[in-house]
Amino acid sequence: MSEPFIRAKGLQYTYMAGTPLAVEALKGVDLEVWPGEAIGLIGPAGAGKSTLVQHLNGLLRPRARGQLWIDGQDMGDPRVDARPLRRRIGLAFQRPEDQLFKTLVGDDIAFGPRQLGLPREEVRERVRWAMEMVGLDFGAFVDRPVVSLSGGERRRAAIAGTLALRPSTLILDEATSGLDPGGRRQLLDLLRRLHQEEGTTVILVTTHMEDLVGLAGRVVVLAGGRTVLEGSLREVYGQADLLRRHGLGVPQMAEVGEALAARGCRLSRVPLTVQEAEEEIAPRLGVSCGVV
Amino acid sequence: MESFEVFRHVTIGQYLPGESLVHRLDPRAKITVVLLLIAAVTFSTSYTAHLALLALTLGLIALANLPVRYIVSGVKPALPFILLLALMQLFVYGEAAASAVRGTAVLWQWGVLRVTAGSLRLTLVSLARLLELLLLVSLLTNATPTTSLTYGIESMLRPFARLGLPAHELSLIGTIALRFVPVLGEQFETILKAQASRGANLRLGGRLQFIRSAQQMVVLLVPLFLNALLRAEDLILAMEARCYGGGRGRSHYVRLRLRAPDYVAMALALVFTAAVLAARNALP
Amino acid sequence: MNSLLTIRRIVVAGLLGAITILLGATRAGFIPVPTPLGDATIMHIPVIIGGILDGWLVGAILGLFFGIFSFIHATIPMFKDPLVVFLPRILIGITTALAYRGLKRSNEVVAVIVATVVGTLTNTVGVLGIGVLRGYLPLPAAVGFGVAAAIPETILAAIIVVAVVLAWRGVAARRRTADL
Repeated sequence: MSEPFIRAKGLQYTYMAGTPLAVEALKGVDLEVWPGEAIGLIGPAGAGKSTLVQHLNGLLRPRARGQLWIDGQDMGDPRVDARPLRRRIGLAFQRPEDQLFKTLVGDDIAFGPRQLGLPREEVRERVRWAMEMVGLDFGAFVDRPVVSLSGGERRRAAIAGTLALRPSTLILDEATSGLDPGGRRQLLDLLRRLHQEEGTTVILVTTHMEDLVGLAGRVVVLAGGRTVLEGSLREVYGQADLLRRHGLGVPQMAEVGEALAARGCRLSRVPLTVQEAEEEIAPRLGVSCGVV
Repeated sequence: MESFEVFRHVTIGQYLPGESLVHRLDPRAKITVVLLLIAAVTFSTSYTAHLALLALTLGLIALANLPVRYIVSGVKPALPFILLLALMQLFVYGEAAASAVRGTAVLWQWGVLRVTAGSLRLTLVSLARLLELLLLVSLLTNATPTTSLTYGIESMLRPFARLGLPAHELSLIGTIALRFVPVLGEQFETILKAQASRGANLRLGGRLQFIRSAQQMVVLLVPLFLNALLRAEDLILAMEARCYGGGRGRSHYVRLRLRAPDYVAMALALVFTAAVLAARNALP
Repeated sequence: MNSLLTIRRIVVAGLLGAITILLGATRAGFIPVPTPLGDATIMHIPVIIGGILDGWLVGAILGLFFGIFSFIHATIPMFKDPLVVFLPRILIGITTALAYRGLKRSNEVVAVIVATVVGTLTNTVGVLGIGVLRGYLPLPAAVGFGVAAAIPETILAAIIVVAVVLAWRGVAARRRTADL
């Protein structure tokens, strides 16, 4: 794994270029993604996250300035055909309503594999696998009308539609927003399994940093169309001031650590989870907190 | 290379704030002027009239400080159709066009393909019409905020309300339609991207292969319609929640008043259109 | 408040009208075919969907939107005749809604398909029929153009309308299981 699979350098993108509605969405993004990695992409609203990930499967292409290589191909070269790339790099959009078009859940998820020209049995297997992966019971949901699904179920059906292509890289754009805590945990478990068991490269775009704990080995922070910070979860969360300046929140446990540090009680590491905070704090309380 | 950023360029219905003379005209005056000019565009087949109309509309766009490049970018998604249609009109419609518009002279012939003076006129006039129409509708919607457009239409329909025509409701339908054109245009772009991301073979590469098959239409148009219907449900809820009760007895916080420039603009448009229409068979 | 034009009808007509403008202004809604009448169209699809989902009035208003676009873009005298351009288009919405209302109790899917066919044919037959009556076209030519235009337009409309209406209502076509 010496070569990054995706490499962006000074990537820029302007929507509606040359018109009064022009919006400079990306001003200079540097990003490297290695195969088999799980990374988190965070940033406030309007930071350019969606624009960036739409570059990563070739929907948008670098124009004048900035460079982007994916799998050794220079995406700025207009001769490069992005369509084969999109089968290997799956991108699930924010709103399931933008892609669901069949009446029944099973038919909709089967759309991608059918486009690949796979035999019937294989399509069925992939739909079953994708549905189980996202936690939609095959027997119970395959014949359900899409309109009868709840918001969270719709979201999962849309992700299953992307998964059914069996991409080696999965990008989720704000996949957890609007889900209830249970649905969110389930989706994050799915991503962890895909990453650990199937070796899928995962790129998770989110505004909730808690989502990344236990999943992402690396976090990239985007603000105002630029990469402003990059590092391990702990390194990024250690920069609470910088994150706040860009309109981002900090996980509560990291805030606890910060508050303690402000009172002169420095912890040995930034706690990310309740368990870590407990491990850091309990010994200092000087009491044994065994099971009551 | 594929380009997904096409429908975002639909410029109709997108208000661009400004302080120009055109921006400040009464919406009713603007609607009247645009309707008169659309009549001239629709009923003229002479080259002279269309040259004059093109010059006039471009002049008005300049007066309104609207960027022509931006407005013209709105036809980008339709370019393949426009070209195909133009070629067909030029070569295939020769016979029909010759009698329809003046010009039976055959200019060029190769087998069944034939260009007549009539089909050439038809082709050029249709292209001019498309452009003029786009410029006129953009002039109206890019330089007038949606609310004043609604008040304008409503107040112009008011005389018909006595005859039982639901003026307020109809103007509201027109305004909602115009207001949502850019929204749905952007929505359509997202749908294109989302479907391409899950394996839809859209072949957007060739400009002439915009929508190739019924299957592609289903993949793209079904989510477009469903999204429009979902947005409709949201809007219905929002309007009902705010106790929207229709036009009768409703007071507006904007009072419309016609001033001198409004009358001048309408009079000029009337004279221009009348002249173009009166001379439409005399001009080359 | 006007009792016919309810908030629902106003809003649905507005949103489907926006699609009509989008398809009409970009001309994405017209598919050029080589007949002297010009284009095959999908502009009748919003009209039919409006007629099925929200009744004849919404359908008629959307037909008016469609008519405005063909009127303005028309290149031959026949399509500069308001009677040819507007009347059949307004009727699309009305016949579709009536056909659907008459049949929906027996079978939803059949009702949607029949209503779509009725709506599309209202357009083709109406435009060409009035064209013949007003002396723009000889009858045999009209029949020829009619068949050539009606077949692709009906098939396209049926596929899309059925997909939209059934997806919106959640009724599965033919069967109640996914095709897997």
